[in-house]
Amino acid sequence: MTPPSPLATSFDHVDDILAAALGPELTALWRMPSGPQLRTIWVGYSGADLAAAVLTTRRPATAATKVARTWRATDIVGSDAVLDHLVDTVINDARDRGDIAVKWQSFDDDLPPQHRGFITMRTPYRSAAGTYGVRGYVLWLNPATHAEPPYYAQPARSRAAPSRRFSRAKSAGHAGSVSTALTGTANSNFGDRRVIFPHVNPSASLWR
Amino acid sequence: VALRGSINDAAGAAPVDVFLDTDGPALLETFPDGFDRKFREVLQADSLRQALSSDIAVHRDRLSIDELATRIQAGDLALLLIDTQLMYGYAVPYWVLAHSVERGLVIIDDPTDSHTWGETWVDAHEIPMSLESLDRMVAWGDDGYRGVTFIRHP
Repeated sequence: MTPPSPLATSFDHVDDILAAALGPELTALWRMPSGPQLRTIWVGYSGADLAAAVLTTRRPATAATKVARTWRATDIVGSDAVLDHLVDTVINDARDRGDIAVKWQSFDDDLPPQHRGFITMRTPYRSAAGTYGVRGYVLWLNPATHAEPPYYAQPARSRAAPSRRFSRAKSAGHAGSVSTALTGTANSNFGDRRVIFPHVNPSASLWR
Repeated sequence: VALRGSINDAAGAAPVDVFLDTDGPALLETFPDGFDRKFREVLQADSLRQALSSDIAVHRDRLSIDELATRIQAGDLALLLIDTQLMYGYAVPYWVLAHSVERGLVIIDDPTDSHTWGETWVDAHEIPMSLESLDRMVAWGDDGYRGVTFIRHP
């Protein structure tokens, strides 16, 4: 097996070499606008061949990095090891920056993280579009001590009266879901949110 | 405060307390003078009266971020009125849930994942944030008033 070569580089856009390797469909996903999120693309080579790549994103002002996408060349022997090496690099970079967590998302046919220490996060309540078809994992860079609540987004198209929404959340029987459900009602008197929150997918908007 | 009353009704033995260090109406900055604004001012004043006559504790001093972290560490949940500028790149008032503390950082859940930015629930869930960032984020308006609602751990 070819040993993983040193990290070639990291950059903030998908260049033509990576685009050719990914193919048009994946390239479009990797090039998706990320708004204010900070993004980094990590690529690794096996010899002269591009063998693996990782796209990471992070919300500004937060202390977590997310592995948003991974890719490896299935026709190159050792590409798995190159990918592992890239993930190690991402984890070390996060730790150096002061992050306390590295998250990982994988879509239907993606591999889950192979690294030790990633734990599967609780399945979210199916609420906003981003809660469908995505599995989530987290690696706490130091062992976490808190109990993870389940995630609950403001539901699409919901203008439910507080009492109705509340009773639904209450039946879920979890303090976290009660509170996050209620945050929706708290925000319900602030004008036209299609303008205020332009980043929310209009086809699955919270506000329609 | 009606919302807070609803939480209080539900939390039962784990009642609610509120920190809001502004005397005027909150979150009405975008409403010009006129009926829409007056109407909401009346509702807010009525909610405050209800809160003051209930077992909801209403604090008009400014909550420190250290105190916020201490109470979350002790098991309380907190709804934070935030300015989204830091995380979204533009300013909107919004609520997030702070539920845990890890290594001195507060862990929040944000009920919005920004789908058109490629976000999923994985971005909006279990967000660690430093106290310094929280101190900037948990403030709204020209005066930077701070609104926090605790759901006390029973």
